[in-house]
Amino acid sequence: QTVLKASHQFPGGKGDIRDEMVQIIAREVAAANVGLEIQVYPGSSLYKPNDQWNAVTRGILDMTSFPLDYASGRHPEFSATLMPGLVGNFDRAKRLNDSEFMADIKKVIEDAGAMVIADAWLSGAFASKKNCITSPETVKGQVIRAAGPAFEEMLVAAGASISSMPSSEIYSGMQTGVLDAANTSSASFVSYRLFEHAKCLTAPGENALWFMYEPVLMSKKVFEGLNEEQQKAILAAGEKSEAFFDAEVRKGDQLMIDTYKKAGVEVVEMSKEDYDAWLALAKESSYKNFAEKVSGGDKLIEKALAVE
Amino acid sequence: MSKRRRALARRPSPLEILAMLNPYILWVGRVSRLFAVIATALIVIAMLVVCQMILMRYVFRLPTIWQTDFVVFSATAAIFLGAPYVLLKGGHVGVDVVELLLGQQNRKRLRILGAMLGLVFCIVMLAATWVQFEEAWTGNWKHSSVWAPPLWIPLSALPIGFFLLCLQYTANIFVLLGLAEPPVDSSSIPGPELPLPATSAGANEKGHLP
Amino acid sequence: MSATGAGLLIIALLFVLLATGMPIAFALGLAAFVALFLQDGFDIFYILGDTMFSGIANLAYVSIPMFVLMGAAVASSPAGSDLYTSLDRWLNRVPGGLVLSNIGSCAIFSGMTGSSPATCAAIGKMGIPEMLRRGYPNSVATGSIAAGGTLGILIPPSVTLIVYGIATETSIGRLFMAGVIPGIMLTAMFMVWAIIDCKRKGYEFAARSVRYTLKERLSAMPRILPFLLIIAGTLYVLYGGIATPSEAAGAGALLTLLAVIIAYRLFRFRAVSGIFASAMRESVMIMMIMAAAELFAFALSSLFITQTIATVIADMEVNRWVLMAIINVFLLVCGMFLPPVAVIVMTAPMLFPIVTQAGFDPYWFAIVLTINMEVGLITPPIGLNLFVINAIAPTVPTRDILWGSLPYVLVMFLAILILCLFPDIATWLPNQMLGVVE
Ligand code: NA
Ligand code: NA
Repeated sequence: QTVLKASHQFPGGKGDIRDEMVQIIAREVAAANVGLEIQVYPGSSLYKPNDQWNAVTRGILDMTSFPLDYASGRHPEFSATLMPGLVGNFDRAKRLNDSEFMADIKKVIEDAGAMVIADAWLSGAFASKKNCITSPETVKGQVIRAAGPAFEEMLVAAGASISSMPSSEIYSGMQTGVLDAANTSSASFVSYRLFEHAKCLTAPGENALWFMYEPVLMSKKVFEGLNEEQQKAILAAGEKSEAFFDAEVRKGDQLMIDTYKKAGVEVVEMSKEDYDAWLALAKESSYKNFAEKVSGGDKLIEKALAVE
Repeated sequence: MSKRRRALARRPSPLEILAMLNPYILWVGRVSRLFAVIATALIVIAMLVVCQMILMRYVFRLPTIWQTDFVVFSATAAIFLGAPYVLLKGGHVGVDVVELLLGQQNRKRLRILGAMLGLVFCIVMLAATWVQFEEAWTGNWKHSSVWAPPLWIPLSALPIGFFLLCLQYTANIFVLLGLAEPPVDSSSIPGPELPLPATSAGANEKGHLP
Repeated sequence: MSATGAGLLIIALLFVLLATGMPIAFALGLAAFVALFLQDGFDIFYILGDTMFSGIANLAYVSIPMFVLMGAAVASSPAGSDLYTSLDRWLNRVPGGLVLSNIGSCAIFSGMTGSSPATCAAIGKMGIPEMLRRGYPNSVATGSIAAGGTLGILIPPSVTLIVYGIATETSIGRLFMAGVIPGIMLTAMFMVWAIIDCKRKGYEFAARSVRYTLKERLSAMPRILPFLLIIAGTLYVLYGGIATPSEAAGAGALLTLLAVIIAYRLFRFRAVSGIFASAMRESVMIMMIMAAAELFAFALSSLFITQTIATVIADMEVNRWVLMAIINVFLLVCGMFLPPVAVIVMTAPMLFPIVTQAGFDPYWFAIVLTINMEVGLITPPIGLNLFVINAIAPTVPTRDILWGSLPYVLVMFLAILILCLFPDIATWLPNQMLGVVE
């Protein structure tokens, strides 16, 4: 019996979709009866979120559900997986998975010593206690906590002030007025109960700005050390978990919208014009910086934008 | 003192050893102090930058790009850079219960054992943090934030800190073994002296350049 | 090896290492290293640095040196004794008035620092000699300071509540607010005990016959005023929408420094650098223990020990209050042997899910946990406050300090019991001010 360790930062056993993905893999692999057991360490109970990359690429950690952008300091290409406006909506995210763009990204992952077991693109939203965030002008002068450096760059370009803080402080930040607005994943918007202070929520719809790639990764070294049966079991479990994710992720957005509407928060979506305006702004800021920082960065963005 | 004399008497040429080790102990102490000054400065600068950050954002409503990273990294680096000085001053707390039960001779043996074990940990961490620093340096790792400072800068505090801790520990061990004189300006070497915020300001702190 | 076996081994190793008297930080680190090395071999050299560094490289943790600095500024200046003498003018006629001044000064000082040893040292260096001079017995003098000092981590700001907030992803601002009323309550309980004790033993000293006129009493007030202003200022920065808790710490430290420098004319570089140096020393001591505790916690988790303990506790089919009692005993035992930050880093992530699952309020639990840690500060073998008192009053035998603080330990148990009966004491204020959060 080989025991593998899987780590992630999300709450365990509370229905968080990323935790569920890993749990499904663990259950499926156990059910396959190939002498393999996966111990899941949720809620950063083993590794700090950022440290998971080093551990999994070295084969010290076996599996992780990992927001890939966290490793962008080591592999700047990964910034493209938390780039404003690059994804747009869930259907496009699915097409993106099999694109040339993601093939490039996955190549970097593999060269570093890890491999993708299951793809996952998480959507996110904006909320403000001032006014609805739709076009770039609407965010001007607001103090906002954004998720991801590329977003921060774009928001600064739009005239917002950035305040960085752990997501657990967003609630009190918005309550006391340290923050006017926040941008984070849909799941966090519900679990941190930001609807108590927000006036307006910008839900991801057909034109969503915020998407983050959070795949389930496995250490290549560990994977290659398994026998063929075990490898097959893991890959099959990964597919199941991906399918589960695909079916559930939209429900998460709906849950957020329902929760906020029930709390009396105005819920809006970005129009195509808003989205295009942001995209133009992103091209001037985050995309431009990315292209300067990463060799072949402009090509990578082009490849992503080329996906239908 | 008689014990030190006895310990010295067993050595072939105690004066020669003393002649070599005393300057070592003196200089290690000085370097620890120098880095204590740097560590203190980093904490003070972190405090000022935090205040600047509040002003920028609250009063001027301007974005704060580099401040958070800067503050976190300088405060964290300060901890590792200040550690050798705190060791010199006996400021890392330990349990002295067992020590109190022992006679003088055994107490000294126990202290030497404790210092050696501490040294082992510092050597391990020196190796580990060197690996980490070296990779950050050669891989040109950056912190993933807008400012994206190179990680080797804050990470360099770890190998430096642990290297100095190793030096400081060896110095302490030499003193405990009676191979060298305790440095004149630090009264108690590894005794469980407590960090006393209450010590009158500036009276017995040596937190400035020698 | 089973998780249980590995767990017993690593904890036994930790005890052996601690017994040598080596620094707690390095003992934790070495025990963790040995365990990890046996499990993973040389590979772990790649992650030791990461674990220690990212364990403390966190914006919220920056507030720890800041809150320590705040305390050092007050403690290293005549401010501590001013605070103390002004309180004494009001309280000297009450039985045990001096003891009350001590406890009251500790409570006020606690509002300016996040650390208990700092509180203990700041008030104790003035209070203990004064009490001994006026004829109070050793045990009363040192016990009240040892216990009063523990308020440092209950009354906000608090280093341990910051660590708890990070470990459990709860709001630090809210945690601070939850500590206010229990802090005042515990202060009052300490005072009531002091009055009872002094009355019972008949401590009637010359000090009581001194009468201060109202004018004299009022004239001492301006000396306390700056401190109250600093506390109010920091609270305003914290809850007035100006800064996050971690940032408020920096502002508070600067405010305090400026106040102390101006009020006491500490314009010499040497005096100010002394404040900085002592703040650096205490910060390094605390944060090194935290960084090493992260390593130890990582080892416990990696060997599946944490999870095994958590499952055992969670699977015990007991009444939730029995569960809480077991958790309390567990925390008390941990607190006896390790400093608060180390205990919280290692146990909070493990206990938090169990406690919330059982329907307890996470902010209420933080306060209960903190009071448990306060007990640990004044119990052997590792009690940071005991070390401080030993250093301030080297002539007082440790036995006297322990006897003197024992009644206060019992008072703390009583406080935990009261909190269990009336959880609102902790949750009312944050709910009132910040709204109810599930
Ligand atoms: Na406090
Ligand atoms: Na204790």
